[in-house]
Amino acid sequence: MSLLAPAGLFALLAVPAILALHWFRRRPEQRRIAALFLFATNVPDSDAGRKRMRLRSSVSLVLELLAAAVLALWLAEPRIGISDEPQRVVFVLDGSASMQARGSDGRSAAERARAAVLAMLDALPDDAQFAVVQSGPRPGVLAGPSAPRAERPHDLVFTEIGAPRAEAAAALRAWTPRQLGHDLAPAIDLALELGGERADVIASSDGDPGPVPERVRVLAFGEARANAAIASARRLRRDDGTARVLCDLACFGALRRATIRVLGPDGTLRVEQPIELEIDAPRHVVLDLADADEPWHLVLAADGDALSIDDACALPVPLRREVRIADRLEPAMSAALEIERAMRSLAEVVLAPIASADLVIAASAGDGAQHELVVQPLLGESDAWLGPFLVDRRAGPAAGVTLDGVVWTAGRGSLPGVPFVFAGEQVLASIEHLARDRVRVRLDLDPARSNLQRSPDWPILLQNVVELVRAGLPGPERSILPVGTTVVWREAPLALRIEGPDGKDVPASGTRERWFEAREPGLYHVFDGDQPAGHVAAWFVDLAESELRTRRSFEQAPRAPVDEVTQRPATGTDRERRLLALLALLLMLGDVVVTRARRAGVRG
Amino acid sequence: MRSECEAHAKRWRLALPRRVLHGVAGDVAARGAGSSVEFETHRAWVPGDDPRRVDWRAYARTERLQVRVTRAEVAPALDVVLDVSASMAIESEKESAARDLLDAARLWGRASGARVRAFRAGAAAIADGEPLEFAGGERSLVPRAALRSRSLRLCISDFLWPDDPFVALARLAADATHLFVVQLLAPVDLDPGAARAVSLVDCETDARIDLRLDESARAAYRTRLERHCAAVADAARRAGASHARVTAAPPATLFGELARQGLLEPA
Repeated sequence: MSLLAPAGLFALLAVPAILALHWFRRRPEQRRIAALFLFATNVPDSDAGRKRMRLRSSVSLVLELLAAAVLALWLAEPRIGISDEPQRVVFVLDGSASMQARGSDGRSAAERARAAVLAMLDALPDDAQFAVVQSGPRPGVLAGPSAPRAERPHDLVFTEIGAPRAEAAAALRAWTPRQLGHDLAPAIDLALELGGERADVIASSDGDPGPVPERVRVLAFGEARANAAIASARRLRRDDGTARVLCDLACFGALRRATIRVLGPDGTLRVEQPIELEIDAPRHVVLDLADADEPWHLVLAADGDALSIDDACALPVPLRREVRIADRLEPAMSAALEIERAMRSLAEVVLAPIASADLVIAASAGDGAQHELVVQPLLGESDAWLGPFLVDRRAGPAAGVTLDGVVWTAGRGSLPGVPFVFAGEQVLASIEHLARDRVRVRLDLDPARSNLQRSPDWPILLQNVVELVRAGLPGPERSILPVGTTVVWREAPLALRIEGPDGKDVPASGTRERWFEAREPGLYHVFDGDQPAGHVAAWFVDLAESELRTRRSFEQAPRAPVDEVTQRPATGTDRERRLLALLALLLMLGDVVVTRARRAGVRG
Repeated sequence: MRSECEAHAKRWRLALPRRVLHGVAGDVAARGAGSSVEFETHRAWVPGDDPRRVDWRAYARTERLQVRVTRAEVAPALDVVLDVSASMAIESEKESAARDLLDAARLWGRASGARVRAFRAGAAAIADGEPLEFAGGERSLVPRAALRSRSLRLCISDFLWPDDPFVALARLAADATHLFVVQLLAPVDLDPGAARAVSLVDCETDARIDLRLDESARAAYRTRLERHCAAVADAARRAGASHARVTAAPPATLFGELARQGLLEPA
């Protein structure tokens, strides 16, 4: 319980006043008589000789004291239940990169949102508690509870650890939205969970966030603007020692002239090309330039472009991660499976001796020291399956495999491992996960009576197996990935160090396998001690975010008004004050009744 | 003894009841405490007997001369028990009346030749000439000193205590020739007077009660007082005592009221 008007408690001075009145009440005329017992049935004890009247704990005194206390509470305007906690406000900031888009006044939606939230912070009471949540694929808390309470480790209620005003303001000033497009709902859910039922939740975005809970107030600061963006890019080495950069550009709005440039790692121009943009029409651009063992930056410059984050992407030197394959099949079997022809269609694979191979293709399972592809029909009777085949494409080897028109002859029996190709109840292919992240893919296949090796699915299947192997090779799993995702570096050296696009070291986790989050778009330099070990590029490519023509500014009041939270105490106070007033009245009436009854008892 | 009291007391004597409680059944005692002749028995007439003592009605029934033999005339005893609690001095009028009644009782006893002794209620005897002090809240009427057997007894009190007075009166009446009970009240006992707010203090226990003495409260008090006095009178009746209730007043008025209520008769 808290008090809206604590000064009302001064009325409690009436309590000692009442006690004093009873203690020092006017001494009436004393009259000595011989038959006091004829006045009352219960004659009080003697108290003669005292200067003051003895304070008797009469019902009247108790009622008067209670009435005084209740009236003091009534004046103090108590708030019971919901009133003992300070106001809570949770701000949800749209962390998507479109918030960086500049409006016609040169200010971005993020700057407008920041200014509005800071103003609201200043207007809130001193004892208010804040939390700031940034939306994203994984919403995060910018300011607010940093750790769950010990006694409720699974409950992120920030009753005691709400962010101070200064901390919330600092978090707001340091906030930069750069996330890919995402839904605000998880962040709003997090805010509602953080704040509890009584918190004001204010979501700031640059457009319509879609349906939000009825308690959420939405402030949008966006503005419809034209924008151009790099939709995709690719760096290719050519056999003649040159390189080619292929890119697709997207134009959202009335932009005409643009220039696409390739810059060196020091920002020097390598090549540029002016282009004409066309509204809502993708533009494919090819840039030829001399190859170099250095990372490049592809930059798009367009007049009137509102958003810059989608105008650049890094092009690291393509990593050669060759997969060494050893063919241990019988020549006839290898020929039947057309291994040699299939390998020619695979990128970055080479034949190698068994000792140095990453992948061994054999007719029987090995010792598991390497990745294995085992192709062997099970002994005994066999069946030729025409389909339909059940293919579990969630398994890595089956991605993109359809087996249309395939005749698959297999023996009857069971394959160990996790099946990913079935014909009825017959398992035709499976995958085993071995120690040290090795895999063994088994195919129950009689190539002499099958046509899988001549179908388009065969090189796809082999490529999938090779990619599974390649993913386990030392180095990054991928050298180009979307911003905000996690980079995994396999077989990382102990002295691995990552330098972010801003030149600062990026913390990495893990030991043998290191991983770090590429939060900033740009080029990440990886070092083994002092020696460069490679590059990883994080791109911001999200055409939905680059489309700014749907952005707008508006304010959406909560359907269950947020102000109700601050109004609720007053409503509650009215109710409680009415109850207190009624109680005080009843106590005073009780005092009157008791006094009258006492007098009547004396007379009777 | 005040001369005024003595002058008025001499006009009266205690009125003994006509029935003697402790004589032979069917006989009548003399009127007056000092001249009573109590019938003893009959005996045969012998020469020399006073012919006036021949019981002629007995001779008519039995045809034998018999004379009435009476007990030798003995001077009676009078024990006076006075309530000396503080309530008997609640007002000077009441205290004076109590003292007058004690003095008058002594006078009435001695005038009839009786041996008179006075006692404090619940306490020791009062010697002649001993100063009296009304104090305390003694509620027992029976003195600590033994009362004389077959004595006449006179009890003077206001009987203003909540207990049933019958027990005390019965003890006083036990082994007594007769008990006279005088309930003496002060004017303030009859009506405490009006007051807007008053703190009433019991003069004996110092108990206190605060109240408004308006007309209704006074009426309620008077009703209770009448009920209490009726209880005292009833207790006296049940104890075989003669009872009178008087209000403190000058001797002439006081004795006249006692005579009117049958406790005194002209001397």
